[in-house]
Amino acid sequence: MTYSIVAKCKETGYFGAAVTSCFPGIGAYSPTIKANIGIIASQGWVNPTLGPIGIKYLEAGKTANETLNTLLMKDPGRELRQLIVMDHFGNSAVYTGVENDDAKGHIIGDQFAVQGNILTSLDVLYAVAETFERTNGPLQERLLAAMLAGDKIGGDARGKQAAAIKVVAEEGFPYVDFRVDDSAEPIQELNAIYKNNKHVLIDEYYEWIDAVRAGVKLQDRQAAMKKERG
Amino acid sequence: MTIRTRNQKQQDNRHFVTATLHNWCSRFALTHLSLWEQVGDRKHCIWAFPQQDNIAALPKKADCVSVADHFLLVFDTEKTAVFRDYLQQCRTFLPVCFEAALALEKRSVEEKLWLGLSGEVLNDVDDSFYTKLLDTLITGLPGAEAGLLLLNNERTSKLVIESGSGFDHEYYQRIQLSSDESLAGTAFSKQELLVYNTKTALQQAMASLSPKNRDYLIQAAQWKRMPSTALAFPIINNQQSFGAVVLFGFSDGSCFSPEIVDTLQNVLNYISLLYGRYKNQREAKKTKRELDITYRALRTEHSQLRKTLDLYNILTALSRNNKGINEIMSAMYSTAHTPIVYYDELLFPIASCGTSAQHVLPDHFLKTREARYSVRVKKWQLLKLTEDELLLIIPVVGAERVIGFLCAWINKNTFNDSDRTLLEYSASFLGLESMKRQAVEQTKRQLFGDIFDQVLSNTFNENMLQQAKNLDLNEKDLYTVLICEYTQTATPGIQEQFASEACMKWLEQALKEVTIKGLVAHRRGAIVAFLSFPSDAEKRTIDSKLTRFSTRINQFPGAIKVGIGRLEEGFIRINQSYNDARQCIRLLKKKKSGKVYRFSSGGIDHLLMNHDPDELKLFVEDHLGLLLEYDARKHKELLKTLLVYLEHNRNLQETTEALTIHHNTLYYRINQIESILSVKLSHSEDWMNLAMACRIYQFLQG
Repeated sequence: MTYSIVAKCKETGYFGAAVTSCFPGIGAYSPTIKANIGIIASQGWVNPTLGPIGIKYLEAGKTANETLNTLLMKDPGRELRQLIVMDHFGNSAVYTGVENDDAKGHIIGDQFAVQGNILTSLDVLYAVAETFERTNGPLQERLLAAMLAGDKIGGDARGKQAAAIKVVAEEGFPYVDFRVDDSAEPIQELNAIYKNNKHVLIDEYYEWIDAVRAGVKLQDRQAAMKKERG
Repeated sequence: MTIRTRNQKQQDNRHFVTATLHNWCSRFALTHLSLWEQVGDRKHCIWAFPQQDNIAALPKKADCVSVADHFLLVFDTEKTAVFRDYLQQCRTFLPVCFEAALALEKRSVEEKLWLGLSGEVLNDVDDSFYTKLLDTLITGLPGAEAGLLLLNNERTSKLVIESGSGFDHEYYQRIQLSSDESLAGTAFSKQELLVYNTKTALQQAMASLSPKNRDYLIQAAQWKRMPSTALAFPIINNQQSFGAVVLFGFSDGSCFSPEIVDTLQNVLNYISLLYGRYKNQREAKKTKRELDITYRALRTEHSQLRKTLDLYNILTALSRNNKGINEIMSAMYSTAHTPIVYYDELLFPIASCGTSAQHVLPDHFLKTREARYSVRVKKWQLLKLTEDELLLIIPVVGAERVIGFLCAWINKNTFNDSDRTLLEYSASFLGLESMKRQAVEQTKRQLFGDIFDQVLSNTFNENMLQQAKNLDLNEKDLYTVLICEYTQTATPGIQEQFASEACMKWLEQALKEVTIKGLVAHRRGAIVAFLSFPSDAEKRTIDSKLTRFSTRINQFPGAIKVGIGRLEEGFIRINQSYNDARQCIRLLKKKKSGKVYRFSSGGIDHLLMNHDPDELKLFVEDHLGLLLEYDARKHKELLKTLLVYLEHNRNLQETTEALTIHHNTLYYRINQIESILSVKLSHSEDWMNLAMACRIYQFLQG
């Protein structure tokens, strides 16, 4: 696995994460995010069960540090993994197992954290973190900018294959959730997918939620609006 | 809350009018009497006998009398003509009567509204607030038969129906209005109370309703048609609209009279305040919940940080004050409150806290996957002991290798997982302290080894004597040398490179147990040690200690051979003792059994060891040759009988018991031996020679 970033938007309270790896369909394994609760992002030799278990601990009110320590106690393969736990407050606790391949490491920032292994160098992590902090705009765009910066530096020493981005706003209603499972340039492609499709539901996210809850089609309302406008 | 009232005179007038109307009913046998107000094209009942709520339409068979331009008196009696004459007589009184009835109705509506809004709704902070508010308005306001309460969704800028009465939820939940759409949108955006008492006006106002929303509204309405009258007002807080309420009348005659509208106008601010209060309470509740979570998180993190800092301070203070492993262990125990033991790499317990007899390492601990993994990656591991108990294995690392294990017995249900980090942190202190101790020990061993070499090679000098003094080697004390040879698998489960170290540590520990002062080192391919005793120590005491030490060595869990030389005065004369110890090792090897051999308890074997083996064989041949030949030829065991007989010092009973033979058999065999060897065992010289020959035979046989 390669590198990932998790973050909480200070303005909206949304939780989001982006990951890339030379591993097909990485987005299927990590991250696990729950609105208003937090994020579990596991990489290295991924243990996908850590996600739901960790979210349960966070829901029970445990902090990121507590959750990380408990997850590590229950995971015999902890040294093979990298694990970020971000709690309700946006505080992160990160563990980089000693059996991950170099270059490996993590950075904990204000309401975000970055982790990576099998990197061309640790500069990848610094680039991801700095770009995220420097970039303005919606959380998903800051995450994508950060991932692109890491990709530019070199990313995964083995190459590239998959990437994913997920931002959660309201539980049960995916906000941003795009994956590239197998591509020569997964992050570039992920960025393109986002840009080409954000107008579909992301720009009308809450209208869509209301429509779903009301039991009507969002298109009907759009059509009706157009009709009304003549 | 104070309800505003008119002056006393007005109240008296109203009571008088009501009493008068009731008096008419009984006097003229009226089965029905009602007063109506004309509102546009509709009539609004303002007083009725018998009393009933929401009379929407005029009784069909009743007579009526118009009063002024906009009042109507409706009655039903068999004395119609009489009553009409009476009304003609008191026609000047009738307008007063209507005005009073209107005032009465208005007051009644006001009272009902205030009562409803200041009761259950006021105290409601749960999700039913909106429903209760709407119900209070519908039941309190004449003409209102159904209603919707809409709130602005700030994210979509749409008015969404939060509660509905007289409408089906399945349909009305689909309605979303823009901020200027229909009645609610207009009231919301204009921040005005709007009244529509005619169908035409209502239809015009609702014309902006989108077709879909119109369909949903009709489907949602229990009347399954568009309403005939409506009243809409905004919910405002701090001059900002948050939503709107729309009340509908579906019955043909229903309407919202000016008095009702006036009454509602008076409570609009209060409704907005109620909404604000409800929102604030909800926010406060949410904030409290958030604060509770924050408080708990802060408390947890603070508690852990405090523990970490406390431990850090204690450990750094211990380090500064040159305190040892035991103090570090105590600090760890007082932090983690779980039994802990610090083992060296050979699993000798160095220190422990809070443990009992049950806290022992599982069998073949070092062979467990967890222990091997923790050594390989130099990180902690958990080994399951029972359903609830786990063994936390933290490797203690020094100079990039595992030099020990900090083991904690933890209950998985009660152990604070975060304390694991503290134990791991403390283990690094243990590593440093252990490295310090090991460095001192190794220096001592090195010095001792050098002295040992110099003594054996007779090259010692003043400098060496000084170093010996530093090592507490007193020139006047009594010394003996111990040599220990070990095999590489001396200690089961210990890696090859640790075998020598394991033996040395074991011997050091055993010496401590029997209170013998000793220095142990590895020299000349074996472990050597100086055991020293004070010059004034009694020989019996020294012998007793060495006997106990020998017994302890026999308990060593592996294959070793230990030789202990004779006591010498002064360590510079231990050459002989060293040679003794080497001879003991040779004897042990010859014996092929036993782990320890003390020179002082060796007897004749030492003489035999230094004799020519060929000469010894000749001696055996001279004295036992015929017997050996006889046994070989006849497949007998006469030599064995002789050896046992000798061993039991010619005691017949013990010999027969040892050989499990009858005493007559023993007599027969002894006679045979005497006959073959041409000796008499009763002759002391013959007996001596035979005993010697047998001893040499056993020595040679090893």
